[in-house]
Amino acid sequence: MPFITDTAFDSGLSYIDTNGTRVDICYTAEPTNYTEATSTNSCGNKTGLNTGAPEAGATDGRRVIVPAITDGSVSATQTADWWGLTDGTSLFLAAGDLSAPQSVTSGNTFTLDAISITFRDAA
Amino acid sequence: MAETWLYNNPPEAALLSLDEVVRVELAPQIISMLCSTQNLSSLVTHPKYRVGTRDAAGRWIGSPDLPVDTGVSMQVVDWKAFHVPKIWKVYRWQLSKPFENRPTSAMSWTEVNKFDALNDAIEFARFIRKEMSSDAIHY
Repeated sequence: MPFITDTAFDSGLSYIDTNGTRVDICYTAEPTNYTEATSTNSCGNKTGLNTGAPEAGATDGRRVIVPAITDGSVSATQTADWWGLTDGTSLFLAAGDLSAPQSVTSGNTFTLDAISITFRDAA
Repeated sequence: MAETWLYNNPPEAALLSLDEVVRVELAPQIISMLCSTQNLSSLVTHPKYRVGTRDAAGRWIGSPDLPVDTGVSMQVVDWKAFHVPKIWKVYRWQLSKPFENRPTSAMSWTEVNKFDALNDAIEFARFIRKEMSSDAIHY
């Protein structure tokens, strides 16, 4: 049975825990770097987030949880399809698709469920 | 002209700023890949693209628009450069292209070109920066 220690997973996830402070919702295409995630493809964001410390994954492995957002700022009237997690300065940490596309209107606020970022156990 | 590496850890990621108005950033490419039961398996190279999620262009995989295993292509980000190398994108700080959907004063980073080589990207970025300075003089 393959095995990788949780400490190894946690070392990687701690990087996201330490740096993950900003979530953007994105449109047009999946963001591929910091600039696209926070500006070119961004239609809203929430800063000052505190990503949680590593914990047990929902199924297996280890994960960190980006907290739910209740008051994100929408900056462009678009259909948000993806999210991007960054440090708000220069680091692009993670991205994924929203559970469903969401139309948003500039000047409004958006909400987003908590996001789990998981390293699965070795197969 | 101030050239500042905001982050510099190639080949993973790198971000160069020129006076905060032009940027050069490393990016993985979005490629076309045939949908198949093999490449949508969680055991192979693109586990994040699965039936029931969306591809990099926002199409639902496994829907009538993007069926699986029928010769239809999906768009995927080649995050780890398994298929094509990462490229250097040059961005300029300006009114965003779909600015009619944004407040009129909104600015954003707009992609203006992309290059295989870093030196070519920086050279182009310096040219853009100089051009922006010239524009300013005309105002």
